[in-house]
Amino acid sequence: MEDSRVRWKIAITAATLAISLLVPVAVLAADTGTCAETNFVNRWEGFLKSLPSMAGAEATLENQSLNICSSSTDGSRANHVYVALDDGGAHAFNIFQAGLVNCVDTFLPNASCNNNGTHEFWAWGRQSCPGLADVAPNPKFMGAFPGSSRTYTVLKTSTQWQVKVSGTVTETLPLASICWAPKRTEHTGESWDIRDAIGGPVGNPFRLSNATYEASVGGAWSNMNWGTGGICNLSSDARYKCNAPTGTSIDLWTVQP
Amino acid sequence: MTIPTRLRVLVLVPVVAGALGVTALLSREPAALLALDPRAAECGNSVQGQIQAQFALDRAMEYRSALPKMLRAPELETDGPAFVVVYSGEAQVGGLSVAPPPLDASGNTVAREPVPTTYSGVVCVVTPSGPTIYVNVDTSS
Repeated sequence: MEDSRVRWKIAITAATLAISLLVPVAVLAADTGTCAETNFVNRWEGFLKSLPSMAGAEATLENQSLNICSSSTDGSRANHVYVALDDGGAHAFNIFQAGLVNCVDTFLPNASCNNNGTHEFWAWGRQSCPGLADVAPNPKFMGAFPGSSRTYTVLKTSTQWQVKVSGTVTETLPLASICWAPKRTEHTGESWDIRDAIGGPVGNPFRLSNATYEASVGGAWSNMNWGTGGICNLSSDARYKCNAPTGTSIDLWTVQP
Repeated sequence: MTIPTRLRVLVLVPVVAGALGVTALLSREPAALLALDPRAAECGNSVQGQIQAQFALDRAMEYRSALPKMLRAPELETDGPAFVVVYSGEAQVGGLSVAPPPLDASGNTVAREPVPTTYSGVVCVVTPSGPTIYVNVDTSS
C-alpha cells in the first residue's frame, strides 16, 4: 500500500508540474503566502449568527477571483467565501453551504478543486444522524467562475433543501437527508491551512454583501444588521482580516507575512 | 486484507452481481490492484485509499443490496443510476469544508472533537448530481 501511495503521489506531482508549466499564472494566481502549513486545519473569518432555529442564509458575492498561495509542498490549500447553515458547530460535518472557492489539492486532487480556478461550489454533510450514514462535506463543483456578482442562497423549505444562485434553484436535497436542525448562519471565508488566503489581498478585499437570513421555514428574510464598522465575530488568525463596512456586508482579506 | 464475502462476490462474480442490479464490474484483479473506474473519477479525486470493490447500480436505491449494513442514505433513494466505490481499511478524505466550532458568549471558539483526515468504511457514490462521500460505513456482509 505504501508503494502504491508513493507511486500515486509521484504521478500526481508529475501531473501537477506538467500542468503548472501549461496553465497561465493567472489561473493559479499566487499571493505572497508561503503555504508552509500542510495539516488540513480549517480557519474561518466572518460572521456567525445563532438563533433557536434558522432556515436560510443569503449573500451576494462580488466578481473577484480568489487567490491561493503557490507552493509545490503544500498539497492542500483553499480560499472560500460562502453562505451556510449549520447545527451551531457541535458536529463539524453538519453544514449546508454554497459560494465561491479556489482550491488545490495535489495529494488528494479533489475534482472540485484542481485546475478549476475560482468556481461555484456547494457542499453538505451529515453526522450523528440516527440511522443515517455519515456524509463528509466535500466541496462539489457547481459552476465556473461567473464573471459577475451573484447571489447565493442556502435554504431549507417545507419540501427540500435548496441551493439557489441568483434566485434559480441549482441543487437540491431531500428533507430526509439532513436530520440536524439548522441553528446558525455562516457568512464567512475559509482556508484549509493557515498560509492559505481568505478573501482578497491587502488593498482589494473580497466583498460579501446583501447578507440576510431566514429564521423559520417560509418565514420572512431579515438583514443581518452587523452594525456599521462591525468587527467580525469569527476570527481564526491575525493574518485574516474582516470587517463589516455596512450592516449587511463584509470585507475579507489576508495579510501574508 | 480481508474482503467481506458479499463484496468478494461483487468483484468476482458478475452473474451474482447482476442479480443485485450491478450492471458492470470492472475488474477481476485482486482488490489491492483495482484501478479506479473512469466513471468514479470524482471519487478518486477526493479519496485516497485502496479500492475494495466498485460497481454500477441501475438504480441508486439498490445501494443496500450491495451494502446491506450501510445506514440509510435518503439522497440515494432514487431511480437514477449510481456508481459505487468501496474503500478498504483507512482512507484519506481530502479537503473538507466543515462547519466552524461553536462560539461561547465572549465569541471564543469552543473546543470540539478534531476533524480526522482519514476514515474507515469510506464509500463514494457517484450519481448524476455528483459524488457523495460516506464515511464510517459498515461494509461487511
